[in-house]
Amino acid sequence: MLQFKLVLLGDSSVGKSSIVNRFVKDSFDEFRESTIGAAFLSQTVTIKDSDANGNEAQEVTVKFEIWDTAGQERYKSLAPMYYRNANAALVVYDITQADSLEKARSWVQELKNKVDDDSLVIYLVGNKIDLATDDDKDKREVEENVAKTYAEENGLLFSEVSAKNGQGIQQVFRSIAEKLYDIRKKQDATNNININSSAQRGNGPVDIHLQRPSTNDSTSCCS
Amino acid sequence: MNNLHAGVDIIPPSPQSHTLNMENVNCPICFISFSDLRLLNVHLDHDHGFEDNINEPVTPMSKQQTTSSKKIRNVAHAKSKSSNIISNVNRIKTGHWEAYTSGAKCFDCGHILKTKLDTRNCRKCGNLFSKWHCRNIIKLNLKAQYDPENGKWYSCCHNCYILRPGYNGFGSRVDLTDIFYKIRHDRSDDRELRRLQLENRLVILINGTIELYNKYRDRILGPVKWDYDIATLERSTVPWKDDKTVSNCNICQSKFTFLIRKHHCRLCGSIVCDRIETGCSNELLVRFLQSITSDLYYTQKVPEDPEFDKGIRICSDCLDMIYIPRKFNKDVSDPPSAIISKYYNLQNLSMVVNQVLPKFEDLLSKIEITKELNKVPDITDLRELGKHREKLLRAFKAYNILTKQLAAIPSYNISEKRIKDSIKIISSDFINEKILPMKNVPSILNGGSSSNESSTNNSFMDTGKPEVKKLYDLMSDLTIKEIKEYREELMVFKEQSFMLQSMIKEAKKQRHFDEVQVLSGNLNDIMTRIQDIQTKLGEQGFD
Repeated sequence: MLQFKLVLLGDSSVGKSSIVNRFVKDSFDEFRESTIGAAFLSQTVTIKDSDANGNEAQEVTVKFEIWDTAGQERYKSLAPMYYRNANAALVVYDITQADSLEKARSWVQELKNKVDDDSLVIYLVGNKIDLATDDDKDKREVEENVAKTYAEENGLLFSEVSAKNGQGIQQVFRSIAEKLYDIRKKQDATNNININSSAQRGNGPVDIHLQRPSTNDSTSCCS
Repeated sequence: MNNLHAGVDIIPPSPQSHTLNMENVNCPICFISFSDLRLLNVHLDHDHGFEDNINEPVTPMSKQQTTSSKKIRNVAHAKSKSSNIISNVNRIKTGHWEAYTSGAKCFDCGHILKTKLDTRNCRKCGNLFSKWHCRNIIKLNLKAQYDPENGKWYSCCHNCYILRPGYNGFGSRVDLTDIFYKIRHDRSDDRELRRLQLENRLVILINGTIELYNKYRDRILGPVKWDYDIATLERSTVPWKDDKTVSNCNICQSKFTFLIRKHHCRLCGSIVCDRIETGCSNELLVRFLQSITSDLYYTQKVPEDPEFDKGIRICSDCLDMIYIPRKFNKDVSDPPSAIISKYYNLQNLSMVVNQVLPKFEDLLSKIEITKELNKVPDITDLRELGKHREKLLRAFKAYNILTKQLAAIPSYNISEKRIKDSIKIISSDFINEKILPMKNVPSILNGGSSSNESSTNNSFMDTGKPEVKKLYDLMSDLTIKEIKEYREELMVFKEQSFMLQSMIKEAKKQRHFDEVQVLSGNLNDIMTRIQDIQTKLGEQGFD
């Protein structure tokens, strides 16, 4: 199993925590309080690996360590602790707030300046498309192609999602996982190491799962 | 003697009393009575030797006799007509002089005049003075009146000197400002005209040169024709001085030789050398000239072609004329250098200190006095004192930081270094001088609050401690803003570490050990960062 560190960045109240929540727990909380500091969550996705010939499909499990940072200005100094050594960064903006795209741009800029790891995958995500349905287009302030052009110019992945109805969320993490897996495979190939053996070595000789079924309920009786 | 005095009193010097015509006046010396003042005067002059012009010493027994009538002069004239008319006519009147007597006092300082040699009459008022108090000179006419036009120089007392009309205590003053302005205006007008002329020529030369270049650039014989045409252009712009008339460089005056060649300035036409040592003339690239005079109106633009390296020879005088005003304007419009702006800030701060410090000291002495009288100082005074003190400390701190920042600015030459050094000396003096009264305050504040304990006022006990701490602050390198930012950051990190600890606990509970690993790795990172900030903050950190 591959492990990747993923960090969420973006202006406050664009829906970072909601995206993570949708991805990890597949739930949505209408009245979520703003995040304090940085929250940690983890989730696994399985992707299909097509090998060099393209016919043999093999299942690969990718585990994300997700750091969901607070968007408020006060916690800005905390962010470098989390995007440092990260494999992927999800830069989120709100399609109904033009300012949030500006903020997202500045995050992208900061990432490019401060992180000299070329393999860092940056994914630009426009959230809250549920607010701008076909009937009600007035609420949208950021046109899709504007953000898309910006993402293409800067080599970012891009999509628009809705954490509320879950549209596009899984796809975002899946494509990140695929991209990261690709990068890892290429790296290993250049190091002349077989991808499978490296994956096994990464997991250690014995693969024992000590986890019991996850319950986030702290009042659970067996604590 | 009483009679004598009476006699003197009877003969007043004023002509008015004369017109009253006092019959039977007595001579104050020999008591012979006269029917007329005029006769008495004649008698006095003749028999008692009071005549003005006679050099013979006054007989000791004679008493002073002062008259100032025109008559007496007429009499004197009449008497001495035979001896020397001309000298009499040209002599200033002396009739009003006070005669010397032993025991006479200087009119000015009141000292007794011991001998006649030390005394002098003021030529104007006639009073007796010691030599030292009658040393001014003034122009008087023969009537002993101030007459600056026809008068001659006579010595006079200080009083007469300063009372003359037109005296102002500092000498005569003539306002030459307008004349100066006119001269200056004329000169700067001339200069401005000259500058415009030179600029015009420069524009013509540069435009022409570029035009010719564009015209001939692609022709085979271009270069030859180009050179020829440019020579014509140059000579048509300004007439060149004849080589034969000049033997020395127009600027440095060095003699032209086989090695020091003659060159013409293309702007003024004068002949100068081109030695590197003196820099009397230089061939400056058209490209460069156009860039420094970009405010002028050029019809032609310098070709992009890098091969275009045509220069124009310009003497240093003309270059200064064109370049210096532009450089000056640029320097003025540029923002002041870091040193200067920092220095302005320093000055502002010292102004604040100079304003607040006297108020502070007044309050301090007021409180000290009340304490000496074993009274409880006024609470509002104490509060005010604390406020002023805090203000001052803040100013000192900012001042200190500014000085340090100023010292950290790299200096590019010796004079900048010198300026920096002297600012440093001044500012450290300033702090040393002004901070002294601050040192004995905490005791007063504490003492004040302890004597106020009955009134349960703890606010000063509270302020006492941080203020002592603030003195340490003066030693820190961090600005107030930096400290604020670091403190804020520290708070965020501490919060996060706390949250991580609870997250780790939670993860352990739920047996998510791989998460525990990740989280504690992050916690370690955060802890190192907290350590970093704390060392940076040093004294400024939280307790």
